[in-house]
Amino acid sequence: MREQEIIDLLLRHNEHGMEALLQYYGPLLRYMIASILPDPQDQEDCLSEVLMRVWDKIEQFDRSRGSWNAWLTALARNAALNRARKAQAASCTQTLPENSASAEPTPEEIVIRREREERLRHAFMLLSSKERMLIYRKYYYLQSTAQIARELGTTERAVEGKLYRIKKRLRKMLGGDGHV
Amino acid sequence: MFDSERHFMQETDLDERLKRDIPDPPPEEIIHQVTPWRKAMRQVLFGSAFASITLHAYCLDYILPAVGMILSILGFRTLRKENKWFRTCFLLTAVQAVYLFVHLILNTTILQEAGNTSLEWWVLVVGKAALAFSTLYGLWRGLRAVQKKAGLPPRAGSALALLAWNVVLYVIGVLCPDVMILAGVMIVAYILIIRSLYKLSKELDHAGYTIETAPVKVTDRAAAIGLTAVLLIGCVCGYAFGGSYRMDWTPLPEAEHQGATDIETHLLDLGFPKDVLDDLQSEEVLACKDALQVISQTYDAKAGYGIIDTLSKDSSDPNASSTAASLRITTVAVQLPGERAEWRMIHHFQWLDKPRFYGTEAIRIRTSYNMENWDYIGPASGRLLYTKNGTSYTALYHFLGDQAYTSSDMVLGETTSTDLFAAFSLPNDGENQRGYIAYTVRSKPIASILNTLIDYNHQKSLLQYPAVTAMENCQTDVWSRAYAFKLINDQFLLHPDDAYPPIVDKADSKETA
Repeated sequence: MREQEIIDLLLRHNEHGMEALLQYYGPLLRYMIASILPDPQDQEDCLSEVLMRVWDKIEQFDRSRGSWNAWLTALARNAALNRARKAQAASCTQTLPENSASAEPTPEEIVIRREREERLRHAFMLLSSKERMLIYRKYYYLQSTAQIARELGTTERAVEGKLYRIKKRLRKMLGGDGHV
Repeated sequence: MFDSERHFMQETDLDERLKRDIPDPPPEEIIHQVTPWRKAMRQVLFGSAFASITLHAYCLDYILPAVGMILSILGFRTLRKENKWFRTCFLLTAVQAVYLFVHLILNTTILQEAGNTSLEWWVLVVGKAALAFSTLYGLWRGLRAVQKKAGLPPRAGSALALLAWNVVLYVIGVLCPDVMILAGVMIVAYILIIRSLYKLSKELDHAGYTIETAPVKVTDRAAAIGLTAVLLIGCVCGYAFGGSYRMDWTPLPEAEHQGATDIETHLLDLGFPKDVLDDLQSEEVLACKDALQVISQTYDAKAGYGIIDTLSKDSSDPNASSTAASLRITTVAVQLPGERAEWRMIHHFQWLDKPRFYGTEAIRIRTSYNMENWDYIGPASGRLLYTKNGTSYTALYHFLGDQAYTSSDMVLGETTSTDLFAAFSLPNDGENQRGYIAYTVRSKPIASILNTLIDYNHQKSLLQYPAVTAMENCQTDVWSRAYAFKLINDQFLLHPDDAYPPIVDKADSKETA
């Protein structure tokens, strides 16, 4: 089934749209969630939550701001991060940063964050496509080094080495003094 | 850069900042790239495509399959943990790679010249085909398994089509290799199948998120470089150690011709060239006992560049003396006593300067179009010689004898001939490399000219792929000959007027008496 057909079904709140969404995009959503939530039960719960969010927020999807896959990826990531943060808060063993992806920021924080994002976006443009992909895998998809290495047909050590070099460049571009 | 920003960078962890501020949503290129499936599947697809291509230009029929095999290995290596079909594909591809690499390395040597028997050839063809078909079947089943796992309807018809295409190609190649009419159809079918497979791979991007990738201990790049290095080192070793015949050189015994001094003197009186006489084995000298007459001809040929060089080598040619002669070919015909004209033919060659010998050399003797009036009395004999630090060494030819072969010609079509061949290798660490071939011909009652063509095939370069011997090169048609060889031709004509008078004179004189 084509992507637009699924979107159209969802926009009409047709249940076949949900079935098709799960069939064709379930693997993508699971893939996204699995690297953030290690527990299989959490993953399934999160997937259900994401599907509900898609059902509820399908009208917010704007192709001019990103592709369908990108939108689903972002939804899944945010849902998984929220769930992970809640789980950690509940266990009180570790606290996620306050301003993690799903936290509600103040207007001032929003401005500062936008500035930072803009600088980071500019720095990212100076990276090669492969370097950007590596950074996204590590810091957006939150994949482990082992997973990245497996999927890229390389070793963990090689991934760590590349990430180290990329971060060194980024730090320089962002005005850091050579240490993290 | 703001101070606060610098301060921020100093105070906070870059990792946290990247997690927090990384542009969201990711660019489309990132969305496409981040998948466990795409890279491995593209490697497998391009690998299968390259491995199936046969382009007879610039060695692409060897380079592309090698590249394809490396890509397939890397792709299946990543996918091998996903299901048993991909794991099987990985193992089969590894076996195919070993076979291909050994084949490619052997192609740099003349060991493959040893040839396969018909049975061995069939075993190899069938075995290779079975491996290729099994791999494609495994790919088809593996793709279906991935779709099934993702809850999608299993469809991978294009992989099955590629398998069918390969089967048809093998059948055509084995049963009727000359059928060119299907070539266009097969190429179009191949392009469509690869396009279809590529589309399938894209469609499978969704299902591909479910696959489980296998960890590796060596990176793709290191593995590719390593495999390429193994191949290149193997090829270099092949060129260095596998391009020549093993020759059994032994020091030449001194005073070899003791006991044949009278015959030698007689032959010299008849005009036998001394250089050639000195190189003959004593049996050869003894065979020329009671020689009636000696006719000799010496040509100096320049062995420069070019594939075929038929120079005006007659010493009486003023142009010949101005060129640097490299190879001297001397033909000596010794008429022996007998009822019919019987001649001991001796073809002697001598490298006058010191060329580089890269692999193999060959001499072909053709007694063209008149053999119905002459009997060739074999077997031929001969030997090789060279000098090093004042000591002469000798060896027998690697091969010396008659050899039947088939060659094709644009004018005559496919022809089968039987000629006298000598195959050998010469050392580079000596000088005055030389040798000779001797045999006997006897005329039939009807007088006729004996036309003897001497083709010396000199290997002038190491770089040829696949490696062929000078003897093999001799046996191919002019347009298929390898650039690495230089062919030097000589011709010797024995006229009836030269051959018969002594016999006729003797007979006449006897009758008169």
